[in-house]
Amino acid sequence: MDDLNTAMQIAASGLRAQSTRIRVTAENIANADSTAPAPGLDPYRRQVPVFSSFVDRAVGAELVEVSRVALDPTEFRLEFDPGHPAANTEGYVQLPNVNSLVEMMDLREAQRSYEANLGALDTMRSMAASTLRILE
Amino acid sequence: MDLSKIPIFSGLAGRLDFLAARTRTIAQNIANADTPNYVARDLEQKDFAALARSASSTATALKTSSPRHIAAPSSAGSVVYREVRAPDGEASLTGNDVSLETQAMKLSATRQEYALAANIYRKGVEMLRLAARGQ
Repeated sequence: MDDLNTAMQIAASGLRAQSTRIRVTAENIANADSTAPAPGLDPYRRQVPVFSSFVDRAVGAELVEVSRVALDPTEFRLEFDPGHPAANTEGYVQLPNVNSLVEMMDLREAQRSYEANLGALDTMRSMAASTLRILE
Repeated sequence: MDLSKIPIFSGLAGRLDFLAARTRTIAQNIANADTPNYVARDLEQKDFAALARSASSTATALKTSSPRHIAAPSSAGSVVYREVRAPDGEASLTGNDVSLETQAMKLSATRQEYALAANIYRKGVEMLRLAARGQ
């Protein structure tokens, strides 16, 4: 039963990490068109969650966490729009380096991983239940 | 009555222990399915025939000829399951090679084996109860 509880905590850490990833992706999608307030400033920069595993001594297992949220260093998109408040002297506006298609794909992947952890949790629950049934 | 002294119960308890530990390892793999450079793991499968042979041969066991001698701790009670690398063979660009499908299959197989062992254990307890009640 001890191992099953540990397994549940591991799956829970997976759920937490994936939901953080979904949050970051949602931020990216929401800010896909957030330009800078004035010329010369940078628009929204895409964020990337970085997963890493760490040993939790209290649990005694390797859990997963989003260790940091890094910034995507790729170039911003440029669009010709002279009337925009953030347009530079040549009339170009810097747009965030967010690609909605990539974000949607990432979101789906996070959803699948979340479901996998949820399935693992369900398995642990049913195993614990079958152990308790010995008492009947 | 010590159930762990009855072979079928101690055997099944060991089996449940092993399967629970394996579930832990698989849960770890699933949780780390997106961690860069993580390689899937599995528990080392014990060679049960060899274990049975070594358990039946008492050549290396410490003999106690007086009640004041301290017996060597038996190895049966302290089984440690070792985690070994078991790559799924689907390394992605990030160096992670966990395949959720493989892990899901392993998990459901473990779950069924666990249910089987737990059921046999339960039946054994029922049998004892039947013997005690006499009907």
